[in-house]
Amino acid sequence: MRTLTRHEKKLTLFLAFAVLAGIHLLGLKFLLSWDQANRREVVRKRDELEEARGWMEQKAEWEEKSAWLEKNLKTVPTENPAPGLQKKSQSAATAAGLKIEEQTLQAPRPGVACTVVSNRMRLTGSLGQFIQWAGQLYQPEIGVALTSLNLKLSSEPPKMVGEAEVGQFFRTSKE
Amino acid sequence: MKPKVVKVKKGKGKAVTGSVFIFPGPEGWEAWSTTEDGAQCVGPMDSPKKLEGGAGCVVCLPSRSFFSTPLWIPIEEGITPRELAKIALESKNLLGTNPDSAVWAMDPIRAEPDPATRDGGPGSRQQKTKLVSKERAIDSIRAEPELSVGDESPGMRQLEAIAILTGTLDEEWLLEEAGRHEIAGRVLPAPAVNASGVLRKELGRWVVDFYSGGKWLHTQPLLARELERGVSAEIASLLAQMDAEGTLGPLSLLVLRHEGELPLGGQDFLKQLPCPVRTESRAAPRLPTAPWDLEPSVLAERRLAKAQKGERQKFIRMGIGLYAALVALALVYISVPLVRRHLIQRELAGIGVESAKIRDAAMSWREAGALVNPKMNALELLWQVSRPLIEKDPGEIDGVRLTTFDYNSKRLILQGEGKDLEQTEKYFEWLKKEPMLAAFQWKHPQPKLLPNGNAQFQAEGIPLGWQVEEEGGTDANVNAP
Repeated sequence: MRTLTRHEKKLTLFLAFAVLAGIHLLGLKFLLSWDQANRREVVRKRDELEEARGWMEQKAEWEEKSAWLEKNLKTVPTENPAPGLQKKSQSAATAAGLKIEEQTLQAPRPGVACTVVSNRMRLTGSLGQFIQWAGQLYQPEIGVALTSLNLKLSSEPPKMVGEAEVGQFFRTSKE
Repeated sequence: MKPKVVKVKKGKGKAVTGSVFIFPGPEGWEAWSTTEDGAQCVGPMDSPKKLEGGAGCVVCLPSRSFFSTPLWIPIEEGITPRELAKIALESKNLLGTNPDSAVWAMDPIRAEPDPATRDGGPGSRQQKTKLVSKERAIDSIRAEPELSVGDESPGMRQLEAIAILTGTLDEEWLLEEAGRHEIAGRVLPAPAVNASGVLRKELGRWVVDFYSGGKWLHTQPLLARELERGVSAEIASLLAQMDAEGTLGPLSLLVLRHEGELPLGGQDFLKQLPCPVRTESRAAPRLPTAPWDLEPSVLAERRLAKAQKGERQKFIRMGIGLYAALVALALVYISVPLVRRHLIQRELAGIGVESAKIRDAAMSWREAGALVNPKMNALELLWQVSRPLIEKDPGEIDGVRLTTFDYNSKRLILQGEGKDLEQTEKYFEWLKKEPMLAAFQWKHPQPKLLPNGNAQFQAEGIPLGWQVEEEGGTDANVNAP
């Protein structure tokens, strides 16, 4: 095999350096992007950790509340609870002297932790009657409360027109 | 009495105390050194490379590697003897084609009046003129031309022992670790007489060294390989030549340094020599008082090349070191987030499951806000927003009434009228400051003035932790603890 001339040796060396530099640049690019992904992941994990620490600091408070929910909220019964709720809210309204204009049972709203069965009602009466009705309905030990209330003065004050949603909370059973 | 020389095998010697001499012995190369027990000789070996001379050893050049010549040099003022000797050697063509690169050394033996100048004969004038003509380039001579043409004062001359390295040294003899190169004859002790000779065997050949006044003067390898009549003739011829040149003078003693029995005919040979002869055992080499260093030019070039290569390698090593440092830094830079991530993940794994449970509990609590949180209970909120308007003792805000109360889990809208803007603003401030309504973030457009002077207003409260979606709805931010 012929030995390389000085010029050819220089060119070969230059080529080798260029190839080496190219490999380094590619490697650098890969490393930097990998490093960036790592750093982003670290930021994400750090936020996650901060949040977890935050929850841990409130552990005692939330455990107490969680225990209350466990104790008082029942799981969704197999029998539809909506008619019972409607009956309960209707009798409470009658007892408070409110006039029921309209009422509709709503489809159960499943949430992450709770499922709400509700009855939407349109009522008329005085503010005092509304307050009495709401007071009678609010029964946290069986999970019943007003979930929404829209009160407006009617054209004949102090009579009021109200739209209310009475909800009963059930614990969503975890599979 | 000479100390006894201990002959040992390679690698078996005792601890060396001084310089090691790589010496051309009778049968091969030897390493001479001094130990606490005296001189020690390792060898012979067929190559100096096979001897362990160590760094800084003294390589004693054999007679075949240099040319020696005793030379009379006129003593001139303003010109160094070396310059004059160089001119003389150049004139004899002994310094080769490039005299400046020739390796040679000289040692003054003795000075005496120059007989040619003293006699005023043409020889002296001719010699001086010849020398001066060669040194035209030397400015000092030009400055003092009378020295070269002086004819009245008797001149002095000095005998110099000169050795010039000839040709290239045998590759086997080049030791890169050598610290000094000497002439073999110079490192041997001279016989204690004025003019003497030493006959010794060097690498299988007979060599004769001449000494004057205890200093090495000349070494001559002999043609004959055995001690016979031819050798005595050669020595006689050399002595006659040196006598004619006046360099050695009458030989007082010739010493034959030889180990063991003389070869056949050796005794007869000694009787034929024209001077007293003595036989003695070999002596250990030692550095003369003014040692030389006749480093072969090829070795100097090699050392230079090696130094340059070493310099290049140093730069390459520095580059590699720098590169390695950069790579290490990059690795550290890259590994820092990896380590952090690992540590965070480890901590997260420890508390992750439990914190997720707490988070779920918080989410459940929030979903059941209307049931369990008084601040999200419709009846409680109705009471709280109405309280400053209906309580008479103490009456907080007068002349404001609510016309609409609209609450669901995502927002609370209040609409009403105030008797003036001031009372309306007072009501807004109250909404914002009331602790029981602190679960809401309140916003309200500018109240509208009615023709009767009343201010119609609306205030909207968004539960904290709920985000208003673009469509107008809201959603809970369950991640917020």
